[in-house]
Amino acid sequence: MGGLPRGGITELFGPPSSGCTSAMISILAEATARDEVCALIDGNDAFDPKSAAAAGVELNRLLWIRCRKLEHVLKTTDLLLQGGGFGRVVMDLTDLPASNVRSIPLVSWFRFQRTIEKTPTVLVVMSSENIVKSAAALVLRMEKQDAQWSTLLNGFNFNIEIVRSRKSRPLKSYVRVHLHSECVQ
Amino acid sequence: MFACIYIPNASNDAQAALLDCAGAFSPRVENMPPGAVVFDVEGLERLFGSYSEIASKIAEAACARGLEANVALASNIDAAVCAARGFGGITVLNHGTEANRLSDLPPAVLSASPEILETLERWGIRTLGAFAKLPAVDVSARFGQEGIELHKRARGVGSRPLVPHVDRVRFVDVVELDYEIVTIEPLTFILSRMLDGICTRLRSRNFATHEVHLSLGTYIRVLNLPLPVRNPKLLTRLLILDLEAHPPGVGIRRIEIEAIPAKPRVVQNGLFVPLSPEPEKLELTLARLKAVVGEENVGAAEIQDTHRPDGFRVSKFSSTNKDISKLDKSWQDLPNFKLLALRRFRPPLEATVQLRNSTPIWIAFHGVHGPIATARGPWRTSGDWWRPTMWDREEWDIEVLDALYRIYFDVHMDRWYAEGVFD
Repeated sequence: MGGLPRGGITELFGPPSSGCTSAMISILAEATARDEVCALIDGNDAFDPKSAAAAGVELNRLLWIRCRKLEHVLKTTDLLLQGGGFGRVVMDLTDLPASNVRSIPLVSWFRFQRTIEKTPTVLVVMSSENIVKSAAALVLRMEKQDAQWSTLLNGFNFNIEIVRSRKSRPLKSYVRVHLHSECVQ
Repeated sequence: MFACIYIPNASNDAQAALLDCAGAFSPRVENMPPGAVVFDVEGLERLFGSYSEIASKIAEAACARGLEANVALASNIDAAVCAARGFGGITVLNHGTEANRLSDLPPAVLSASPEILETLERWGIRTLGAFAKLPAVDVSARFGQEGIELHKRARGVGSRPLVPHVDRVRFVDVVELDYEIVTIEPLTFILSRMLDGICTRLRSRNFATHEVHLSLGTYIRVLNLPLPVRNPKLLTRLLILDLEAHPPGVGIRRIEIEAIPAKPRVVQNGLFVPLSPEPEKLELTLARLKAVVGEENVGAAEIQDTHRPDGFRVSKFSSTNKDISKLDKSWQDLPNFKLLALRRFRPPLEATVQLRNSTPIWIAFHGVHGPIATARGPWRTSGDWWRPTMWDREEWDIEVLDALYRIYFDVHMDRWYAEGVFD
């Protein structure tokens, strides 16, 4: 895959249990371990700090913004990207109503993309369906493969499909991301 | 070499101005109220030239602060003070000439006690020269230790060390308004002007502030900053955002701002410093975010020391938070973390569950309903039985409609809940 493009939008989408959150946590764990400051805009207050800490995310390097409305998510993202200095900014729109998420105008995504394009920031958008469209530099579709069980759920595998990649365009740099193919409790 | 600035009948304000003036020339200043300050001018000749030129510069600086002061330079503190009290304008006493130069001055310049001055008057001693000629042993017998000190001063041979002034400087500004202000917007201009002045004063003393106290009549707000700053625009914006989040609710007639001084932040940037927001900018961004989503919804997650599910609290976020143990380690060097990421439903969603042989076989909650393909459990947890917030539950992990959920049965409530989805 070549990593996540800096100064661009990366979109992860998939249905529930497709591994989007696991991928997002891996992205944050890798960045915070390198002492980068990251931000998570939690669209429906669904982030579980214990899971994240267990996966290696340095919680004190992660700014967590708990939102309940799409309007707050967009405004917060704007403020964070304008403020600058964050290594990864994650927008989690997964649990918001699909009709609301679809109503985000394409121009908003292009504005976010313009804001970060000359910065080292990576904007990661997580949703249940593809919404960023042509403003995204990298679009990944996630899909659950199979689950392993013991006393409780032991882990599950997921597939990642690259739907769109602007790798041919001369992007400044890429961030290498380590995704756990198998998740174990 | 020491310099003394003296003003007869100085008020408290004038004394503070004298200290400011002396502080502009030397960090070693002794406060000698009323009306005098002494400070070390050794080494200043490389900056200002001869001692006469130094004295002229000091007089100019005092004049610029509206002080009509006498300035005297001498090789010891007491001689400089006596000369400043006795001679008008600028006086420079070269080393070895103090006794001669001071000999014509009256004993009053010694700042002796009234009893000693009265005794000297009765003896017919009217100049320092006459007092200096008295035998030191006899002066000691008559006046004791104080007499010996005064005799040394009269001979211009004082040798006491300078006692540096360590007064706590307060950076306060107060504005009394003619009319009440009831909205936040007009406050912006007043706060901006006041903070401009305070930040200028902080900068002149090479200070910054990490704590600003704002008093609007009886309403008090304290702005705590993770790092010291002295940018008036930033402080104004932070105070206004804070007031918008916590409005005073009453008319404002009096505004007082006090900045608590702190050492300014010194940062050595490097090519390999990891990406993080500028602390000042981050503080402003955090204040704006809090205004949008609420103060309790912005910060860093902190896991509490408990087995309670979802036990965490949100603490203040700062880009300077660093876990020292993890520094200089790359992600690959850290233990091999495994994850099973859970997305929580907050609050947990009430569910309807059908059981067969005590195992869930069908579930319905919030738009999800259907047969359970796989169910594993129960995993029993309980805790805090001595508190009203106790928990006692049986957790199950289930697969429904190709998605993986965690559900639990609350033993006390006798109900099923969906806790989250594994993703």
